[in-house]
Amino acid sequence: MLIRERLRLVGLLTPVTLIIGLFFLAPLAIMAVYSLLEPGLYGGVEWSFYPDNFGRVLGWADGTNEDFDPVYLEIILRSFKLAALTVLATLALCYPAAFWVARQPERMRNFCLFLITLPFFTSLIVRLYAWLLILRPSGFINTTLLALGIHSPVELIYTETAVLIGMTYIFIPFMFMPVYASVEKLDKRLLEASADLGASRWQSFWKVIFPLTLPGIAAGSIIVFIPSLGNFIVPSLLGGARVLMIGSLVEQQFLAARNWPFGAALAMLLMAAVLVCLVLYVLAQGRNSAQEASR
Amino acid sequence: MTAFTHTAPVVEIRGAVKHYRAPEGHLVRALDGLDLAVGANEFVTLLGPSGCGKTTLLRTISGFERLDGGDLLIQGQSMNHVPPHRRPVHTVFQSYALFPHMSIGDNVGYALDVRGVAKAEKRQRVGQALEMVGLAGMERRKPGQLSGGQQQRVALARAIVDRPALLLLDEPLSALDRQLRQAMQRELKNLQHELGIAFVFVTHDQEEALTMSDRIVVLNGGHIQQIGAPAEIYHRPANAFVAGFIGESNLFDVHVGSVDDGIAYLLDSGGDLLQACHPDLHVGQHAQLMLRPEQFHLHCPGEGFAALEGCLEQLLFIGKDFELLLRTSHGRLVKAVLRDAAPQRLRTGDNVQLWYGLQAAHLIPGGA
Repeated sequence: MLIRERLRLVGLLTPVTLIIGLFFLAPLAIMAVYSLLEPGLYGGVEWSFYPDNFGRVLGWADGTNEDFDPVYLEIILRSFKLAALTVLATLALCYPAAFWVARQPERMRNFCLFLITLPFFTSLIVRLYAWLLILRPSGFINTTLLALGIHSPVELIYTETAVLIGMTYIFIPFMFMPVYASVEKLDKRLLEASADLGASRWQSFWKVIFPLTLPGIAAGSIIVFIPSLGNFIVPSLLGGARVLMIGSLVEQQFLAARNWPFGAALAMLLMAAVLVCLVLYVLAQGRNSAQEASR
Repeated sequence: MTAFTHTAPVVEIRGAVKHYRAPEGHLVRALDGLDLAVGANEFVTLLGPSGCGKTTLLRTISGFERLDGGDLLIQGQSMNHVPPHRRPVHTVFQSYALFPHMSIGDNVGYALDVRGVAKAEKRQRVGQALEMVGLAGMERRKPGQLSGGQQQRVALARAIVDRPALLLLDEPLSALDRQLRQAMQRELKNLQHELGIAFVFVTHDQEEALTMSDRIVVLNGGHIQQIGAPAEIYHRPANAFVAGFIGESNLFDVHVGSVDDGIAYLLDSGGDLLQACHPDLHVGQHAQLMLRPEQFHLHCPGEGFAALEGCLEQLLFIGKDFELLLRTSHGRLVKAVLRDAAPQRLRTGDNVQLWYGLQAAHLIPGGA
């Protein structure tokens, strides 16, 4: 019985283990190794230890082989800033909407959830080109504003604002789903109890609603933050050359500059930064639950 | 003046009307012109079958339902436009509704917290409240770590921590098992006495209502059927609904055949002859006669008793009591519950006399 169950488990888990092992962990290991090798003159790598890939970003490149350039740190910081703003923007849009949807009758709720997932039926590139048409100087927004009497078109396309709009737009479903799940689970009787005990609506929100929906907010924030940090499609389409983000930079190093080791080093730094964020989050969670357990 | 405020009602409801729109579209009256006053320090139970309006009435007092007509006063102040969180009233909910993310201490202290009571005072009053419900020292636990009975007590402590003028209890004991429920009934009664605040208790369990209440309000169809002390409700029900809803009863539709020396001779619609003492009855009047199963005796105890005679159809031992089903010669089934050991000698098919006291036989005027 036990052996049969184990065999079944092995049978069920082997394919996914192989796929992740072969196509995720192995390339990751190659990247990790490449990030410490010397870039070859015509692409590829030379097999010698070469710490200046990281040095170009972090500062120990002394100019003999490579130059330290603070622009890379700036790009990483900008990526973090835009990812954080994307989280805030999607949260601000999704949180109230989730309450509204949760209050609807069941058929309406399901219809709303369907609408939220509807954009996935169209190609991402097509949808981003639509934003290009909306935001460009001769686009929908500017023609409308010009017709209303402004003198010159507002600069929208190829700015950080455009990137933020685009990322917010594509990540809304990722924020909505976990937030909605936690809002829908909220027991309305707890809100009645809160009001009954003398809490105003504002107090009820901060003492009951917000803490109970916090897990959904945290899950949505992580799901949005990580992919928007490394995203390169939105910045390259809506941000152009002026709003360079870490994802685009990595892409450039691999495809255009043919400097695989430097691209790999940048990718490793990005991954390390994300891991640090996640570990901090897990530690915070763990401290909360440890406090609860010790009480 | 002090005497007046002492007897002034905590809650006064005048002509309360509340409609609901039924799923089929028509309006249903959940409360139909209802008047009620609850005195300070009084334990009042709202009793009735589901859908009788008792929960609606409770939610009207707590402020979660708005009246469509009539007035609600708490401590003499109109509450018609006061939101729930500004009313000096707390509720113990059927589901307890404890905040799962807060410790027991924070749950109990919630009402103090939202009013900005200082931390030290809050801690002290939370401790007192928990002590009153027998959960001293549980402040740091979480609701999920407690049993159902303990959660019930926390909900209670949370509702009494700031001594509201009135405590509303919405079937708070319905989720507990029988033994715990009976223990809690006694504790609730003691607690109410100790606190000296008015309790309005909603239940559909008549035993619970009889055990705990100073007064019972029997509701049906949005109307008050009867208000009275438990013994009065039990022994002198105002109408057939109350008689049928509270305790078991044998109800006979009768009309008065003759009256002689204060004793009315009654003819049941089925043909059985019955008697009862009643001061003012006139011949030909219709009424209903109620005989509780435990009112019967197998042998005539003396003067002032009358008997129903019939064939024993069923004899059940129901633990400490015997339950008899008797069919009279006119085909009417009568239920009796007897304590003594005598029924053991009886066999189904035997001819049996059931004696009842004429004073205790209760006549409900009117009827079919």
